[in-house]
Amino acid sequence: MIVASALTRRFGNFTAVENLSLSIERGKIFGFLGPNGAGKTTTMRMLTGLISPTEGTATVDDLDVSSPRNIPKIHRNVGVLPEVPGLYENLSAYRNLDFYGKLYGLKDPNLSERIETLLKTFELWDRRQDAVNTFSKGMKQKIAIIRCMLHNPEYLFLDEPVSGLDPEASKTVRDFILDLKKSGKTVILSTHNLDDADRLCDKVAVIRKNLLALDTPSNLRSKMFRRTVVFHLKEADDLIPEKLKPFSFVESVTRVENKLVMDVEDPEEDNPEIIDLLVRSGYKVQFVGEIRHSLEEIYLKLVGNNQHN
Amino acid sequence: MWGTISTTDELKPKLNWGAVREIFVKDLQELSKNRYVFYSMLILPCLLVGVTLINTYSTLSNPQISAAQISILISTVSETVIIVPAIVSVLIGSTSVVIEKNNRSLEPLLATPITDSELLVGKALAPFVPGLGIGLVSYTAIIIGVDVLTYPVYHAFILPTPILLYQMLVLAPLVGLFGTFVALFISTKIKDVRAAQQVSTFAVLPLFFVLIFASFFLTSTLDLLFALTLILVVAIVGFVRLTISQFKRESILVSWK
Repeated sequence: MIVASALTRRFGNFTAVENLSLSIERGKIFGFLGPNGAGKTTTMRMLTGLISPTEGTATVDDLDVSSPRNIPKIHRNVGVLPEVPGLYENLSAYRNLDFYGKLYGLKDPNLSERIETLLKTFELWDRRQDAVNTFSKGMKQKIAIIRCMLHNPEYLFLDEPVSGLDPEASKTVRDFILDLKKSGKTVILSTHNLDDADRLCDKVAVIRKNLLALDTPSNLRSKMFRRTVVFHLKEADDLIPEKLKPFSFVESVTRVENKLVMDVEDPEEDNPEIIDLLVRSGYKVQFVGEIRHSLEEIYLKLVGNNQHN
Repeated sequence: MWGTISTTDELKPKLNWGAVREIFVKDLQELSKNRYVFYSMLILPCLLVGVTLINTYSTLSNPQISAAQISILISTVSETVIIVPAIVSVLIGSTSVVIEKNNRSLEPLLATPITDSELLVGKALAPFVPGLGIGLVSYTAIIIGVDVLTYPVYHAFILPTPILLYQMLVLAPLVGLFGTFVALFISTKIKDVRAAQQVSTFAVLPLFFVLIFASFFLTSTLDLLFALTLILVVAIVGFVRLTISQFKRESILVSWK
């Protein structure tokens, strides 16, 4: 488990991260969201022991990241994918991985078997002897992901893992992240891709220097927005909003052609009553759906509020 | 009982020479792929060896010159080879760090279990070993070449002289170390390979000015050698301390530009 308590990092007079407290459970996918310069990378660097906090503490499996003697132990248990792949461009893909594998203390034949398995998983085995400078951005990103996986760490810190990847490569990486979770690994993501965060993360932390929100995407949705339901009718008219007025749980009604868009408190409870009224009033309900507020909307609301404050 | 020993070991982590060797070998492999650096580090030694041998050959055409005189003359000319370990170390040292910066490979490297000391030693060995190696090969080529040229005339091996041996075995490693740490320190501050090489080269030049300056005032060769050794040791200690202050995980990620 990773625990951060009142984590603060200053660079001179500039405060990058302030009073950040959170915990990351094992076996979950955790996302850091925030605008550029919000302190995501600094937070991840502190949690991996790459830089030390100015104030506060952080532990990885009870090992304090501020203690230099813990760093090698933490790094054996942590894989880091930085924002830029940071590969040795003139060396082959295999040599890059072999170098890092040896630094992680792996030895042949285990190391060569591990490299082979991972290169085959990412469909790069045939290119293993090619210099990395001949690879596309997506291929380099895959090599960097393999690199942080080599020593089979419990925790993976992935900074913008699908940044700059084409849709196919993005899907490979996303699927791989989900496979990691299935195999019990803990993945900590920093991403601007809110769609990915929504699909992948069990819990997200929205940060902008300090913590703005910390919860599951669905809890954030229900905390920040009322639920919106759409009723598709065969025919609709302008009398309907008037007819729905007695229902206090209906906060707003908007008619768009034959569709009624309503904000309600509890769709599971409220929808049957609304349908009953509509049917009794002679309208024909074709189907009912819920509009799911995206994580992007939540994020923009949080970050926007914080900006105004 | 064994637990106590283990805890003590953890408190004083030893240098993992396997990790140091990996960094050293990887840097040399990268260097071998960089033709610009690879060829530029061979030009100077080839030039100095060539000049010394041509000088020996032309001196031999003077029948008046004795074996002792030619020995002193050749030793003086070959003193310039002392610059080789420094220049080669500067070329490689500045490149190995700047390449890491440009590739943005320092963060994944520091995320491995290596310590700051292992990184520094690995990064220092990569320029020092080839620098010293090329320097020693240059000295050896001069000794063999000069002896091959002069033996038919004097029927004796005029090289190596004790001074030349002192240069080879004591001064050349010190000069190599000096060049290495100057390059490592300067390349932590500079982002461009060529700029790092140029600034590092300028930084090692004062050493040679000191050598020339000292030769005017010190009448005994022995005094000159000891003075130079002392200057080198002091300069190396200074640059090692400066470099160590920069080779800390935090400084590398936050301050290296």
